[in-house]
Amino acid sequence: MAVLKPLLTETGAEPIGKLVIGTVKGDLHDIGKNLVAMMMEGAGFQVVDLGLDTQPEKFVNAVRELNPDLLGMSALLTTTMPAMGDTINALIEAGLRDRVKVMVGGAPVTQGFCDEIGADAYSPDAASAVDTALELVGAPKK
Amino acid sequence: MTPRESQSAIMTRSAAERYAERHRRYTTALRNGKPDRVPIRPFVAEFTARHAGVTCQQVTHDYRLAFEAVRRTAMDYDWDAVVSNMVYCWTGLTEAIGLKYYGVPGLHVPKDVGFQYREPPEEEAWMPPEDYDALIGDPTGYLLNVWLPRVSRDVVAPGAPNTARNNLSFLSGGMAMMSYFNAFGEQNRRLREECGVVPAIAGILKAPLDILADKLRGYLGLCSDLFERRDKVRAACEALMPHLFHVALSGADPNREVPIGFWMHRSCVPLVSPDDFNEFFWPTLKPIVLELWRLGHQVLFYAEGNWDAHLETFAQLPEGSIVFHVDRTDIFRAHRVLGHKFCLSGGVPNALLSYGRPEQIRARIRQIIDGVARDGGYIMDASAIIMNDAKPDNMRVLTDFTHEYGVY
Repeated sequence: MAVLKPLLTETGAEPIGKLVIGTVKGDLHDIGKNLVAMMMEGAGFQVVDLGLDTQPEKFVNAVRELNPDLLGMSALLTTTMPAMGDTINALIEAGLRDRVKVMVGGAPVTQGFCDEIGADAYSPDAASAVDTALELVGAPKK
Repeated sequence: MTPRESQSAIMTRSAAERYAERHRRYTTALRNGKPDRVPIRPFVAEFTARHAGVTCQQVTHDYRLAFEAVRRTAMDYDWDAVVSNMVYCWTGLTEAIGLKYYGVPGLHVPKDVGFQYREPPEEEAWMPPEDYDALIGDPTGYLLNVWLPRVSRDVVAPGAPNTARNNLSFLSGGMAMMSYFNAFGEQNRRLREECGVVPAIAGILKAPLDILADKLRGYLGLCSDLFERRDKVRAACEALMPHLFHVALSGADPNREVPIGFWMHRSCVPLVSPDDFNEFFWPTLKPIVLELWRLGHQVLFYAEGNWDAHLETFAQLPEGSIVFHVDRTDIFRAHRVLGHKFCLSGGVPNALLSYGRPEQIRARIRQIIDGVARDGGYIMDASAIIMNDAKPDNMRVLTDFTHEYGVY
């Protein structure tokens, strides 16, 4: 993306949406999250990467301050998956849940878990995450 | 004989009998045979802390406590084999050397989350791309003289001004290493003689391409290299082969009864392309596995992720030379492709053990035993290492239902 980004910027194309993304609290794994972030940038999204071990409050503050269309959360461990639900609850408490669509992913995450915690979408891999994101912001698939 | 000695003799004989029975069951399955029932060998990590009523931080900081938790859990659940200590990161050793790549519970992650590995951003990789020639020229020397000072807060590189912390890191690190690694012999003896449980694996193998991605260039760095410097990647993988073979052999079971653990992280599709797998991963791994097998050592492929695309390749290996552990690979496809030559293990999703209901676990176990274990050659386990979020009741269901439904 370091090579492609200036070329994308040169085209002057407006971002098709804004994504805030991070690996959840207690989890230091970020390969999957980085792949999703790169693919999203490549697809035309503006991406704000909060990094790893992201506390729910940090996600909430980012949603409040940056007003993204999408919030992406990643976890590699079954032990850290619950932090996704905690973050969604924190968004609800802050009155921000309706302002953003929440996407979740990572090796142990399933559609069932996504539904259980009240996320908007689950994607099993980076490529389908892009398709899902395009759908959520109402843009045509590429 | 005093009553106490008599009681001890009964206990000892009983543990010895249990060990003989479990050893026969486990090793028969390892060799793709049909034992009396499906053996249970869960890769239990921080779950043992939960069972023992302590935190992830405690078992990571105190290996004696970790060892005790393993013994207690294996005994209480009546398992056939366990890894001597799957929470293998001991803070006493990692902090003595000041290793930067561990995220330790209580220090860098919450005390109730298991230890993890940190991977720096691509531009701060432990090994920059200009170091390829140094690694290729002398891999072991490079790891000691260049890589170690980079991954340690205290070790200084040769030629740099010495420090007291550098001296102390070698002194205390060496003492910690001796203390910890020597203690495994006693832990294995106690598992066998007091608990009647088989230490499940011995030794460690990593594939050259995996170690390059995992601890040297990082995954993103390796992806760039696979476009920009393929010759260097190939040469580095080839150069690492003798070092990794030596590491595997030096920890292997001298009795050649239990397999060497081979931890596979980053080399399946789609993390690498099929072409890169065929060009880099397999040609620099296969000779190591073949040579270990020639020396009588079986290798347990802990196939993290989904390896569906590579099963036919693994099927080329000699009969009995590996055990294939299923994480997200299709276990029924793995059985069709590999089952006639190799034992399989795993396949019970960890999320099921953490969040599932007993009937869901029983259904999955029934599906696995009916689908892949009817003729033996299967060892019951979760898909991945079992952490402290697995529910004790669900682990009990896994155990009891396998005992009941897994009888041949």
